[in-house]
Amino acid sequence: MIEVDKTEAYRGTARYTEMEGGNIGFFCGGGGGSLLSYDALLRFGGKPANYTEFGGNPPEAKVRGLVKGVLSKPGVKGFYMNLNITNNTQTDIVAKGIIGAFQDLKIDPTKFPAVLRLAGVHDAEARRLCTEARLEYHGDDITMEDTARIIVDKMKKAYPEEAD
Amino acid sequence: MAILVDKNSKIVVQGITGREASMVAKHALAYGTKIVAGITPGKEGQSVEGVPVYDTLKRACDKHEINTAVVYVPPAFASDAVMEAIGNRVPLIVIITERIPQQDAIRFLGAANQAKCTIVGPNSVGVITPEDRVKLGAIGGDNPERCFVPGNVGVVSRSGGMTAECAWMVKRAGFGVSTCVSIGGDTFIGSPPKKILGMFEDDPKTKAVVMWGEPGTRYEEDVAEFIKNKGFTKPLIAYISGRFVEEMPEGTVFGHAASIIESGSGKPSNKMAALREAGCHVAENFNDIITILQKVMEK
Repeated sequence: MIEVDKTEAYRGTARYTEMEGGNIGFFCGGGGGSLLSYDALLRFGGKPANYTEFGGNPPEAKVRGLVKGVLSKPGVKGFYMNLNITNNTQTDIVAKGIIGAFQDLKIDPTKFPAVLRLAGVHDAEARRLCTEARLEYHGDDITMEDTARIIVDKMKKAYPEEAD
Repeated sequence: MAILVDKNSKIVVQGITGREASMVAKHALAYGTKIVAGITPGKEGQSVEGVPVYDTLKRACDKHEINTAVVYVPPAFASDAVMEAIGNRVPLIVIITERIPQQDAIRFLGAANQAKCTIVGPNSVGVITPEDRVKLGAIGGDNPERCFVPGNVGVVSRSGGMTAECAWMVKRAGFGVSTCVSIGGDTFIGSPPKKILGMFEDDPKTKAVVMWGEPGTRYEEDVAEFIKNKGFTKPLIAYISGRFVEEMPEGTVFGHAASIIESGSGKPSNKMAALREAGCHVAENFNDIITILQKVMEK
């Protein structure tokens, strides 16, 4: 378990638990929403590389650091981000953090299977930022369970040789 | 009709001058909620978004009729605020504050029971009745209509965020919600799901209930028992999250503090079996909530 930046707890909490194996980087928000996100991913045949749940309003740098951590585990070849709608999490900040992490690690979102589902504060801006960065963004157009199916399908298409 | 909050709710916000509390008060007032007073010791005479602030709850109760308290006071002082509300006989106390020490919670829950006050929370994201445009806590934010439309389906959830997502599923199914209750993710809370279902049972407006469950505790098992004993006779659609946690080492915490499986108890698969046995509709997939609800509401 990695405790992430306790000093700034009020600005967002996070937890990272590494799983054995897996090829999908998991970055989800909300205590309950993360449970659903993980369940749904497994149910559709996805293989998460970790369990990471964040909440509150983490600053962009914290999101960026967390996502880089998630994506840096060897074997991670996809990215799955799911967030339940909240009243305070600024989705544009979260999006910026994720986009920044992809850029820092020089990951090409048009080739690397990734999906983000986040709805709530400033989500029109989050959509704009993700579209600009060519990261697949969804908001209230899908349910939280749909996101899992989307990433599993993308992984199958990108890595057909790995299909069970 | 509704449960817990409706157009007759006269609300006081304890800790109203805090950063989050004042923003939440603003959103609630904009929605149409009647906040009659706020409490912050030492700030009497001030006002927050037009709501008068008092030093103590007693002073507010002397001037206003109050039947609902929302507690936004930081963890170290929250227990005092709750005891103050109990002392002033406020019948409904919704505690938003997170990280209240467990022994404080045990103490004030006991006191509330004695005084016959209803507590929701701690660590609740709030309660909302869209028909009367009443909301307590941050639930719904500055745009409650997005997820919460008025109707006949109750929602009770252990997760704050999933309260909104469940209400959203109800909306996607073509229906609306009577009252949605975020009961809080802490280990010791005032209103477990069974208690909320008892209220929904007596509410003529509520025709069915959607329940969000998680690993740990005996809440869902108690609900199954309650239903078997005819404490709740309306259709219940439940989704129990965290099945994967059963495969993890015992005692690891995923999600909320209460979502911990210990000594083999608290497993989602057991909860699902118990609820099914009691005649509930247990959704295997979260999306099934929509189809199940449509089938159930057709009857």
